Parts: sequence; C-alpha cells; structure tokens
Amino acid sequence: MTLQTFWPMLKKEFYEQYRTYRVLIAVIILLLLGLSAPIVTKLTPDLLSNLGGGIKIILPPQTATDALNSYLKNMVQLPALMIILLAMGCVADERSHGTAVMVLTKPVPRHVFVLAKFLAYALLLFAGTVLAAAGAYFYTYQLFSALPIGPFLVLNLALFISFVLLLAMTVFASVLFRNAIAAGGVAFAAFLALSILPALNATIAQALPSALFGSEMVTRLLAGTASVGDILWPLGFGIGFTVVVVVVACLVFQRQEI
Amino acid sequence: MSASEGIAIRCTGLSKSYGSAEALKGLDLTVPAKSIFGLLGPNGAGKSTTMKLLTRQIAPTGGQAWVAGVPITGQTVDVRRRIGYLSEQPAFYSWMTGYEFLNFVGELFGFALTVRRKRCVELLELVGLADAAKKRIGAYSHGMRQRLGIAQALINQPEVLFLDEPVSALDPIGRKDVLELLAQLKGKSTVFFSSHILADVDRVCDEVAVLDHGRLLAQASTQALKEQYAQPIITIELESDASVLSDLLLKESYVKQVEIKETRAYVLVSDLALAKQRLLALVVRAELPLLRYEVTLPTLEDVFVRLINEEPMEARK
Repeated sequence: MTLQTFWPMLKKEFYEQYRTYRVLIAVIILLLLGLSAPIVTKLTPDLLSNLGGGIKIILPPQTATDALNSYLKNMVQLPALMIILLAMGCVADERSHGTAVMVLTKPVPRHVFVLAKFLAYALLLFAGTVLAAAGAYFYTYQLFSALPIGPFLVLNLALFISFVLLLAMTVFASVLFRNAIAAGGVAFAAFLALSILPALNATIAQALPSALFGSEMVTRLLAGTASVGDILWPLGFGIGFTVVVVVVACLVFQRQEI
Repeated sequence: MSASEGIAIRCTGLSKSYGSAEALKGLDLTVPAKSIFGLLGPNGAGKSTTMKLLTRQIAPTGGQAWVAGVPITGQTVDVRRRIGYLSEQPAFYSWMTGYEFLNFVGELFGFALTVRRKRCVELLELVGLADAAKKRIGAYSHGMRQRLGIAQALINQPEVLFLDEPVSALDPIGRKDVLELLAQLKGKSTVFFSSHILADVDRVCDEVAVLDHGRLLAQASTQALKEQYAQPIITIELESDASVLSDLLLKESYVKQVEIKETRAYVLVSDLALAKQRLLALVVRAELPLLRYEVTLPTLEDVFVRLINEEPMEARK
C-alpha cells in the first residue's frame, strides 16, 4: 500500500510545485546565485577601482578559488530562507485548510504523506543545486580557470545535504504546528541554531556539512590535502541527522489528529 | 462480520477522551448494511468525533468499532479502502481541476488508468459537474465543491459512505440535489450521515441514532422513534369557544390530554386509530359548529426535542 500511494502523492507534490510556481522560484533563485558568484567575483576589482573619492583599494588578483568561496557563501544564506518559505506550510497548511483530511481518509499511510512532501522538495533542491553548480562551474571556467571537478562535486554534495537537513527541520516544524508562520518561525530558529552552534562548539562545527565551506577547508579540498574523514564525517552526520529528523516527523504525524 | 452479513458498522463501548473531557462515552451502535443512517445531535453531541473515529482520523481511547467488517484500529486491512468520506467543509487543491482531483483520488486507491478515466467521467456526470470537469476547483462555487466532494467519496464504490453534515451549508436547490443523490444510493451502499437539518434526515433516512453529550440516547427507525417518542395531536377548531370540548373529550378512554386555546382544542391521544374512528363522530353528535379537524403527525424534530429535553442532567456531565 505504501508504494501504491507513494507515487501518486509524489506526483501530486510535483504538480503542486509546478502549478504554484515553486519550481520556477526555486530554480531561478538557485541559478542566479550560482551564476552571479563568479561574475561578481570577476567584477569586484573593477568595481572597487572605479570608486570615487580618491580611495585606492588594491585587491590581489581574483581566482577560481575566490569565485568558489563566493559561490558557497551565496548558497549558504539565501537558499535557507527560500527553503523555509517554500516548505513551512507543506503539512501545516494542508491540516489547517482541510486537504489533509481529504487525503488521509483515503488509504494513504501518514508517513507516505510526509515522505512524499520531503522527497518532492528534496528533488527540487537537488535540481536547483545541480543547475546552480553547473552555472557557477561554467562561468568560473569562462572567467577564471577550471575548478577541480572532484572537490567541486563534494562541496555541492555538502551544500545539498545542508539544504535537505534544513528542509527536514522545516517539514518537522510544519508537522508540529497547524500554522505555517509558526512552523516557519521554528524552522528559522533551527537554521539560526545550525549557523551559530558551530561557532560555539568545535565538535559540532566539524560534524555539520557546513564544516566543508570554510575557506581553509576549501583550499585543502582543492589542493587534495583534506583527509577522507574530514569529508565523510560531516556528510555522513548530515545525512544521518536528516534521516532522524524525517523519521521523528513521521512518527509525530502518525500520532496527531488530522 | 461484514457488510454483506447485514451489519455495516458496529461500535462497542467506543470512547474518546481529551484529557478529562469525554467527547464520546462508550458508544454502542449497530448500523444495518445498505441503509441510509442518520446521526443526530445538537452541537457538541459527539457526531463529528464518531465520524472521525470511524474514518480513522483519530484513535479511540476505549472500545472498538468495525466498519464493513474491518476493525478501525486494524493494521493488516485498512478500513479506508472500503469507505468514502466527505467532511463538513470539504477542502480541495484549488490548483487542480475537478477531473484531476478525482483522478488523483482514484490513483490513491490504486485504480488502473482506464478504470480511473471511466469512474471520473461517470461520477462527474452523476454529480452534474461534467461541464466543469476541466475548470480549476478554485473557481468552483460552494455547491459545486460539495458535489465534487460527494463524487470523490464515491470513487471506490464504498461499502460505507460517511457524510458529515453534507447539506447544511447548501442552498435549498443544492440540498435537494444532494438528497436525491443520496436516495439513489439506497440499497447500493450504506450511507452514514450526520445532520442537524432534521427534515432532511426524516426525508431520506431509514434509521437514526440520537447522540447528546457523547451518549447514545436512542437508535431506531424514524417511524419507530416517532411512534415511541412523539404522539399525534388532533386539532379541533370550532366557530365558537372550544372550552365545551374539554369535559366532553376527557371522558373518552383514548384521550390523554386536552388543551384549549380560544376556539381550538389540541387533543393528545393514546390510540390514534380509535381516536380517528370516534372523535369526529363525538363532536358531530354534540352538534358543535365544527370549522376544522386535523390530525398532526409527529416529526423527527418533535422526537429530537423530546429526547434531548428528557435526558437526565447527570448524563450531561
């Protein structure tokens, strides 16, 4: 029954994302962030040199690594807000509007209801990340030089995992509250916690996928001097944490009144 | 036990509590298969709680219930495969068209594409939405949404159809249409519906149950309830003061009570058949100037009001 209902639920989520322009919004935002990073990095010295007032700012020549760091910074902040805004009502709105009742009085297991939403958004973020990465890679190659493909893929995988971790938290918050704004608030608090805690605790900092986004780690990755543990630990922890949050969200939803 | 064995729904000691508040207190109920069954009660009686329990929206805190022979808490066979449900205010994905929504519901039941197409077309025709099939649900009127709600509830040809206040928000024409639809289902599916519009229930239901404060007050056919809880009243109107009738009528063994209001006498009788034979003749023999003679049959509303008012105070706690 799970498989029989999962596909129609997933399909419905895709249609919904398409018809409500969520696909368009997510793709445009991520693609623009990906494309803009190398372009802005390239233009920054010219922009600064054209500043008036007699101030002369001398920047070292911009490189592909600078473009990559700019790309990672872009992809860490704005997409987080986008994820929260897109997904905060995914369960909460369905419960408050009554559409959840319509679906869950059919033979649809509750975990399928939650998983279909999570997977649909995860796939949207995957597609958006791929497009952003392709755009960023292409313009970095055009404007600077080619980035080593392996480390670039690892960093994008880490970005995607950090996206789905935040998505899982947003879906969980949406399960907890009938009000999308409340769910969004809690998800934003979780995002702030994920951003602040690494600065307070070194163990947490090394465990989260964002550990790979620091400029020092990026340099090591590009140079091929980062250890396998340095890479796998944050990726594995991010995936494991995401799975736990999604499973807890499903279990909580199982016990809730629709 | 299954619907084919004559029982569509059976509840034994079904209870639901929220903390110390008991929404449903040990409901024992049996609904015959293929009947149209009305669940009545004032606001807060436990009607919606019963509906939610039987459709697995919430879990009971006590007792058990079987719908179409399947326990509502069962894990191996899902009762939702065998039922249709329409909530009081049905909500849809407004970005879908009516056809798309029915097709989506058909997919959830695992119907093949050809079966889904056929069912969607049939049901849209049945509920009068064939012309609006490709229109977005967001543009549907309230009545159209209600009809689409009925269509989606019927897509799996349910053994038991649960309808929560299906007509209360509709205009008279919409109510008439929906009630006619329900009447068409008589003998095909069991229809279990709650309503506070008693005239509608009286019109279509074979059997009713009356709930109040989470307890079952009565369950019987509408006719049996009327006979048991509401007695017929005979109205006699004279051209002159009707007080002369009081002494005359109270001598009769079948007359229980007489109430005089100016030129009218309202006579409560214990044996309607005997009263019909003798009462009019009695008035004629007394040579009283008769203006009107009318037997008023009891309505379900009379039964409902009497049942609710008779409930002991301790039961309401």
